[in-house]
Amino acid sequence: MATLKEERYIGKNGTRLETVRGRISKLSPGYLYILPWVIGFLLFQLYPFVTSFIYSFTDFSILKPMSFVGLDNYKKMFTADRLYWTSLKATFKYVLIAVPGRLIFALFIAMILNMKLKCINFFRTVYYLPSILGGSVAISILWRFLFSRNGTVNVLLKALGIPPVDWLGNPNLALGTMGLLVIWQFGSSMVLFLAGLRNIPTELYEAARVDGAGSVKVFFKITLPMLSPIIFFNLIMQTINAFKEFNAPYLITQGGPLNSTYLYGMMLYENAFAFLKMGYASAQSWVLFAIIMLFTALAFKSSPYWTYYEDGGDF
Amino acid sequence: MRKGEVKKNTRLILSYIFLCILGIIMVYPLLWMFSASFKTNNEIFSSFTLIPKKIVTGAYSQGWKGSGQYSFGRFFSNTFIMVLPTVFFTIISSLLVAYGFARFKFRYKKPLFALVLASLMLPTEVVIIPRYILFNTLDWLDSYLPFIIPAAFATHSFFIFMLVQYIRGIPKELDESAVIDGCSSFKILTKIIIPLCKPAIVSVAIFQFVWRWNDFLNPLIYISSVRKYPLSLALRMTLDVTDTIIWNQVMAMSVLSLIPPVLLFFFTQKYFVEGIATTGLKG
Amino acid sequence: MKKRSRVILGFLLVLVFSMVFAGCSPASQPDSSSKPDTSKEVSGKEDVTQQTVTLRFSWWGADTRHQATLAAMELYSQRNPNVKIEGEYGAFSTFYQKLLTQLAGRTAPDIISVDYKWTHDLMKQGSPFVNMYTLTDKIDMNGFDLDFAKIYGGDDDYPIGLPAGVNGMGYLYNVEFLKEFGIEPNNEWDWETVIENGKKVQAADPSKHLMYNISEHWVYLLKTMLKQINGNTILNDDYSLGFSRDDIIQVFDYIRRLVETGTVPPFEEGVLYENVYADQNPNWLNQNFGIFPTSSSLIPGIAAASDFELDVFRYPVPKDAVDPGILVTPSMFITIYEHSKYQDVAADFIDFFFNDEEAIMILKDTRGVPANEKAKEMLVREGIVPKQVSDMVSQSLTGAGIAENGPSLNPEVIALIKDYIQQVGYLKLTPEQAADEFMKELEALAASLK
Repeated sequence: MATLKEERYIGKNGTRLETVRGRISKLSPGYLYILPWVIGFLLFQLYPFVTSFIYSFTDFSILKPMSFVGLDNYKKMFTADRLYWTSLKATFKYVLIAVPGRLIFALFIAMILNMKLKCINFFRTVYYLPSILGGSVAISILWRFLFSRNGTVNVLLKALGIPPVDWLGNPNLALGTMGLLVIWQFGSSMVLFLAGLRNIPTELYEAARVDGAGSVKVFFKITLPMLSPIIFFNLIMQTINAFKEFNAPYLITQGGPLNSTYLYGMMLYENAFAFLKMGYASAQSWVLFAIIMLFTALAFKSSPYWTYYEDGGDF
Repeated sequence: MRKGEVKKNTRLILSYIFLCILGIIMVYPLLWMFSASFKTNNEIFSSFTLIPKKIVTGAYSQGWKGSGQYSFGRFFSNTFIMVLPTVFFTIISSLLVAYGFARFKFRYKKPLFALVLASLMLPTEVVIIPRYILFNTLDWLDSYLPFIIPAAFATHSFFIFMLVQYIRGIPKELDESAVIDGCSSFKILTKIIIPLCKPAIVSVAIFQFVWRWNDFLNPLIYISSVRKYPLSLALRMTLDVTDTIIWNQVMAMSVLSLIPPVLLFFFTQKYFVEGIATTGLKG
Repeated sequence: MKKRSRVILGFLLVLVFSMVFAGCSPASQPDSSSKPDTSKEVSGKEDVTQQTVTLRFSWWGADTRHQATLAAMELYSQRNPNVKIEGEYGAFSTFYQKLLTQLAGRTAPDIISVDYKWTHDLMKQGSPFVNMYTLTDKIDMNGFDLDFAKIYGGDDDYPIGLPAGVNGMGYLYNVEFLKEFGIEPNNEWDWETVIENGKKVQAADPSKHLMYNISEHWVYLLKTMLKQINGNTILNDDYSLGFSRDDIIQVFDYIRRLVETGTVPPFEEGVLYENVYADQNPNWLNQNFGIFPTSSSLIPGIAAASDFELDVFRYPVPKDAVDPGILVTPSMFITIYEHSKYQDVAADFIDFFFNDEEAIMILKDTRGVPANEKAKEMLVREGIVPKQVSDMVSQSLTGAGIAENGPSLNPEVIALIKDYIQQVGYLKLTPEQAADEFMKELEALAASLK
């Protein structure tokens, strides 16, 4: 029995095997392995998804019976909501700051922490700490200390002769400052990069060194390509999370000043749980869903050109 | 040779200096929280320094008592009861599903995988209420089942995707030779894939542990009885401006609540940095 | 072909499956009461005197309130051994979201604390709470001013609950600070006095400011000034605007002058602390600001963090004010959930909670100055209410303005007001520009809310 199933097993030559004996067992064991997810999806995820999609065509307000309003919510979003475009623009800007910032920073630190240094375990833990702190109550208190008019950052700048800056009070700077907080919590990307770096076979580096390649060349010719599946994963996940970001504006700026940090997640939350416009918030969510989907699809489409897999890209 | 050594040494020293300076920025909040647990309300909000002007003791023993009804011992054990099974089931279920996606060909695989990812893309705000109604229908509210059971059915797509990426990084030749040896697909999973994925599995454990440990929104919605509160709820239980918040106790309990995730990270990191290269299979 | 039909079949199955689930949603079946709710611990009928009853009671607060409330609940259970009360308590900031979710799932506690800012929205959606008029024989309401309660918590014939406390708006000040700058605090201030003294502080020390407003307070300031100018709330009950262009220009211009004279810190600097109270503002704690306009309920928390002497005086009221305008509100309504199985027991507990002398002495002023006259007198007699708190409440009562109405308390309206105050405060818009745009947007918003 087991051997019959294995015929479906694919390797680099697997496709041929499959065509010869594949017909014997109709069902790939792949289905068996993904079964938990299928059940979980049907049980726990499908219903909330479908419901929120239905909400998006209604005036659902959480407590009152809802009635259908057709495409009104979608129309309103694009034509009659004074903050929608402001929020969308802020969100895109934020994604452009936070995603590359975090990835580059995490990769950079991972490269350093991958070196054979003393106390490296201690350093790795220290660098992961901000991610453990998460949304702790202390964070918003500290952040205000750091970036207020008389805050630590301005005190340091003063020593260099630079006049004080209103980091979070200036509408042009607030979003970038908030981005710093998010970049500071780069721990999980760093862990993934570290694990990925350790997986690069040392003989590749040795061979490169024999060929006389400089460290910059080694980085671009060996490190980056070998890390590409992890970079790809981090890129997708960070993009999805950045588009949905809620904690940072909620904890630090409440969307201000002058709505400069009024991110999409913040807008959704207000519409859903402060203004009781759950139907409208659902419509906005589905638009965001479509935007994220588009970006993810583009990333997947482009991935064969820049990612390298040991399985030969056969998915 | 000697010139190279000097260069190497200076690079090493520079790395240390850099790591230390940046490390201070990373660790400062924790140190501040620790010192804040010995400060008065006034000092916590009026100065940024680490050393308290006037040391207040007793925040730990007083804070541990909670609001009188249940102590933080209870909240700690609640959190473990909620988080540990969730982490365990996440690992098992995500591994199986990721293996299925990464190593087999089957019909509709790509659209199905797209669905896996799609479930990450809808903002949670708008699914909170239907999910709440669903768990209410199942009569699971005010228990830890809404956390544990979905984890057993691989609903944390992040980890599926992550493990798929790692498994695809394992050369197929390894399992092909096992097929020739007559191994079943499950045996390949346990004998080849899992040992080689150890770093990734440990990462899953760390991430999921830390995220569930800190998760606030889901417990807020699903848990009502104070008796069943996890730490994340208990820590915010007394934050109300129309009453007097005793901040040093809040900070003290926040510091304690960080200990388990920090210890977990510190003691398991050797596994995720122990890549394939060091297990000898590939090197 | 065959393949395609199978896909379609699968899709249909999925759809049916989800529709079946969707049927469980209360949203689609608003009136079904077949589902068991709340106290799962007890099944069976209403004869409550014989059986053990478990009531759930939710509130927000910090340690002192939690401990006092738990102690009162304990006392009630001692006297009524068949009743067990479970407290569900937490932080204020997330309380409303949880309550909304529970109302949607019909799983809300038997006794619920409700903020006056929510009542209008909640009432628009049906009647989630038991009408207090139906319980007059079970709860002694003689100590309560039900007319006051109804304005903020219900409508003419439907008070949703009993107010736990009374809150008044006023000026909390740093005694030393005002003395240092030769400023005399008294109950006769008007808006010009504020600016004069603001200039005085700036002239003596440009790094200090007379006062600072949090964003919530800027909204009160605007609403109060409008009431003082024309006697109306910002939106009338029929959602028409309660002010003219000249009125709002006057207010916006005043806000601009507060900023330009340095009476308040520049917005760029102050905005960082616009969502936390004085107890968390380093400039207040380090005595760089002298006055914090606040509601009386926040005083104990601020006093605990401030290392200097505090006192209060009355909110500014111009001599020629049409309406004195000062905001006086109930602090927290204690309500009974309409789907509670044990409404009688809940009512009995509420009666005990508000009227029992032992309970009053346990709960003290943990929910502000009690709205119940009897309790208030007892606490005053025992000297339990801090002087600043009771002073601020009585000062505000000498100039209590017309009450806010539902349209004016709408969270979207408040968000819009905050927005335009920032536009003016950041000096991005002149008062005239701001007035025109604000009126246009408020009218559009009001039309959509109607």
